[in-house]
Amino acid sequence: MLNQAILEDLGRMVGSDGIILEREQLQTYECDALTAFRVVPGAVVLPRTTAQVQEVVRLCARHGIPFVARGAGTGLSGGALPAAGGIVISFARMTRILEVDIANQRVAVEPGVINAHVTNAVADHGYFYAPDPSSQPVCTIGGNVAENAGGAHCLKYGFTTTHVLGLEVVLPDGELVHLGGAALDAPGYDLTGLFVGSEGTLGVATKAILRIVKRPEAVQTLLAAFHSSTAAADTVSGMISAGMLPSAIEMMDRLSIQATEAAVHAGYPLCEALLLVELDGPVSEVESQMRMVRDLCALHGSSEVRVAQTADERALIWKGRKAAFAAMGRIAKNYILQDGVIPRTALARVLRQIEEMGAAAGLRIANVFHAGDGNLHPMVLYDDRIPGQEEIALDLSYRILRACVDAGGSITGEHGVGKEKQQEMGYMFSEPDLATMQRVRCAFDPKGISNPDKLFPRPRLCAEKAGPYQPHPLEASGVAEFF
Amino acid sequence: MATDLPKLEAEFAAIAGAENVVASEGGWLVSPASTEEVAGVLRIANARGLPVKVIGAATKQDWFNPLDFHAGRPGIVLRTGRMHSVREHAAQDLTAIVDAGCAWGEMQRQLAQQGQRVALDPLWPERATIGGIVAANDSGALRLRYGSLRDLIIGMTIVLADGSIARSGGKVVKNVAGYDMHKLMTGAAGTLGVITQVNFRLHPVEQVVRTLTVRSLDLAPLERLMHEISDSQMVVNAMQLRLRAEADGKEMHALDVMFAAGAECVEEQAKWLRLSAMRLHVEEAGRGVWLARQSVFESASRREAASRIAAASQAEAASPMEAASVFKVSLLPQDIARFLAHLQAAASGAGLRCAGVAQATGLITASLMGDASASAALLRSLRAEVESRSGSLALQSALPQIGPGLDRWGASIDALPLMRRVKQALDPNCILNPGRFVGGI
Ligand SMILES: Cc1cc2nc3c(=O)[nH]c(=O)nc-3n(C[C@H](O)[C@H](O)[C@H](O)COP(=O)(O)OP(=O)(O)OC[C@H]3O[C@@H](n4cnc5c(N)ncnc54)[C@H](O)[C@@H]3O)c2cc1C
Repeated sequence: MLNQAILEDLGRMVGSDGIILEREQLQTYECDALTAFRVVPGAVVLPRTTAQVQEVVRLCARHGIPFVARGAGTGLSGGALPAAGGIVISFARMTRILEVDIANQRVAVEPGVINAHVTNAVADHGYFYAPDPSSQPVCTIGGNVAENAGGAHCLKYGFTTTHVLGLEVVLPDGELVHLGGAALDAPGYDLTGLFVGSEGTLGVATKAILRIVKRPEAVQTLLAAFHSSTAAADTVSGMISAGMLPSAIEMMDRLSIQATEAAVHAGYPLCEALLLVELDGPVSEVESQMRMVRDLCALHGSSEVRVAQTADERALIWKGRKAAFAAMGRIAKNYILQDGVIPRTALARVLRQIEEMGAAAGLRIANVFHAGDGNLHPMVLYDDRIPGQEEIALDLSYRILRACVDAGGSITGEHGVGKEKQQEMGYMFSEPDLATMQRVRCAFDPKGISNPDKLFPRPRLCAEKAGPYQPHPLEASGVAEFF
Repeated sequence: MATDLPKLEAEFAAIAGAENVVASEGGWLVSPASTEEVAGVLRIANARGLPVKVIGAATKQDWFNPLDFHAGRPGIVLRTGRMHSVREHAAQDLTAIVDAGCAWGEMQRQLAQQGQRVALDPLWPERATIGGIVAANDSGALRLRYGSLRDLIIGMTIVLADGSIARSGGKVVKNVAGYDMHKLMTGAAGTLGVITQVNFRLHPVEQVVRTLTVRSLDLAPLERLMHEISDSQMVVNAMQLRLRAEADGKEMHALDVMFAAGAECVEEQAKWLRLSAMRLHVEEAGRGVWLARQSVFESASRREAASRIAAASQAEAASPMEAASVFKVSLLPQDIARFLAHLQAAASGAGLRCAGVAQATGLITASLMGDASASAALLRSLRAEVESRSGSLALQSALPQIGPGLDRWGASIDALPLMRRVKQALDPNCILNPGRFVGGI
């Protein structure tokens, strides 16, 4: 697909040090953090400017070459998986923070900027960038925008989409557009809201205007041990119905506590369910609410409650939670991580159901998740040396997602659909729902070259559905012209 | 076409019931009772290329370009009023699903039975419907704390022009499966699909709410105070700057601040504010001050009505045309006070009256009243000024007199061709609210 002439054109566009063609180096880009899917791209380009991105995309459009944008490659659903023979546009060299406007609480960045670097740039002024995926020391704003990334503190502060005010986007035909802006409610459709979370299928973001938030006056973190996940789940419901909005409510089960302790020794009590609750805000508010949280924990029979007051104590509590995924290696050879969402009230019931499903399949399932918004992260543990077990694990993990949908939830709360959950989209949405999204996709990308064959259940050509505009008979005959 | 009309009417009646299809000038007023009935009506309209104007309570029709049906080219006014229930209120999950034709206030009353609400304060809540508020993306002072509709809507049911029924999002707050079609529909002026149901995330009704108003003859100290609060660690629900009515020289500008938190916290913050505003006049205020945005519209329409009566009683061309126009300005927060001051000075220089209230988020509702051509000239220069500071100015009232050449939204949008493609993809025959939106979409 990429002949010599095209490669030379690409080289001219991004400079000889901005293009990767060696097979070995290309392999670095063959997958994201979901390593089950691998495709070696035809070429990787590393543009330095929006103009270079535009040139590359125009070339792709001209020749019908598929392209995939890439941030840090930490995506968990195969979103940055290259297309065979296609081009990867890496944002590793577009890492400038373009503008910091503290007075208006705005920051403008290039897409390759690492999430945590935004906070670093404003921390001296007492501000932070709220969306905090666990991968924040490495993942990029471009990837966050594409996935609508969330994090533990999104319970209170909202997801990436809440914090993206404007975008500069190179459309799949190479056209440059500005969506939204630094000021609110720009005239026209809210294409910023549409683009965030579109997983690279609507074009490539080359700049983002972000909102930053003032750091709260006080932060307190509580750790509470429970003898059952039901008791922990009831405590969560208690907080919500009391009208509290903690900045984070996380939950871990026995298996993940064991793994975490083995890995990082956070000093967690071993119990059936561990609740981690963080409150932030004005001192008086945090203190009075923390009293209520403690009371609720006691009411639901918590066997142990600790409250971290200092930054160090807090860091220790979070250390275990943040290391949980990596720690699974301590207790299992392999695992599949899923990302289902359920209504908060279904927590106890669905957790029980998942446990039963695991038992029936003969596999262990560990759970570390964002309990406050019902975002489960079940990890199906298995051993790929045992023939057939990987298939059983995969099947189980998808069935868990379907159970989430059945409970009134979603197949993904933050990791995105990508390559991994394409088919589950067909379980969650009906044909007309998907066809409507596909029509929008075609309005942006009629040739289907921007991150093709992701997100939707099966590859479908634009012409298959909406088709080109044809004047309506009445319009053509002049009876009904529109105004 | 003409011979077709009775047949068409019978078709609509078969879908929505004869009593819900009323022949009116240029077409029919059809009031379907369900998503499926909306789909049925749209299928017919789409097949025949009939324009469809969607209305809730018609409170914000003047925010968009007019759509008039002409004889010989029948159109449909699709009224959502018969779809008016709160379908589901999952109080424990803080979510609700509400029909598009439900009045905002009615929804809030039902949610309040469980101590909850949608944390937004739109205009005319007793009349305005969910669908209309969403399609117009209205938001008020609470936006500072709770965000706008795009942050409060978690799912939606829409009917496309061809009658297909599509859902997006769902019933959970955290969800990244598929495109956020509900964000695309929010603020789309009904040009992309008919919204029939909206899924909201809810917030508890706050127990302790208190508003303080700080007054000053000068805007500057109020502006400083507002920015100081924005930059502080206080938690405020809402904050707005109100321009004084210029007629009365003794009247002062005002800064309203709404606190909502635990009793102790609210007390502390109120104390802080009184201390910080020591040299200014501070008073406790009722909830009424938060109707300021609505007052801007209401005083403008009273004025407009009065001048219409006056004009009618005089000889036709006697006095110069009077106009009252309301507009929404969006700016960066640091620019709002300067804008208000400039508005007042320029209006008085041009012999016009003005009113304005600015939210700390940067959104301003303002009005100009007086000579029509002077108003138009000033609006043009204000818009140029605002756009040069990365903002926008959108007209929110009918402006036949101010009229030609003054676009409702102004701003050259480089994404307009893309927006047209989106419109085309979802409504290829261009039947839904044709021409009403940005760029004549
Ligand atoms: C240990 C670990 C923990 C994680 N924790 C979380 C978590 O708590 N919350 C969470 O939400 N996610 C989490 N993730 C997933 C991942 O970090 C996020 O999805 C992140 O947003 C991806 O960013 P990235 O820069 O790595 O993007 P990539 O993986 O490189 O790309 C992700 C997607 O974005 C697209 N993309 C990248 N840049 C652009 C651009 N400029 N324009 C358009 N599209 C673009 C890609 O094509 C791809 O589809 C975690 C991942 C790991 C490995």
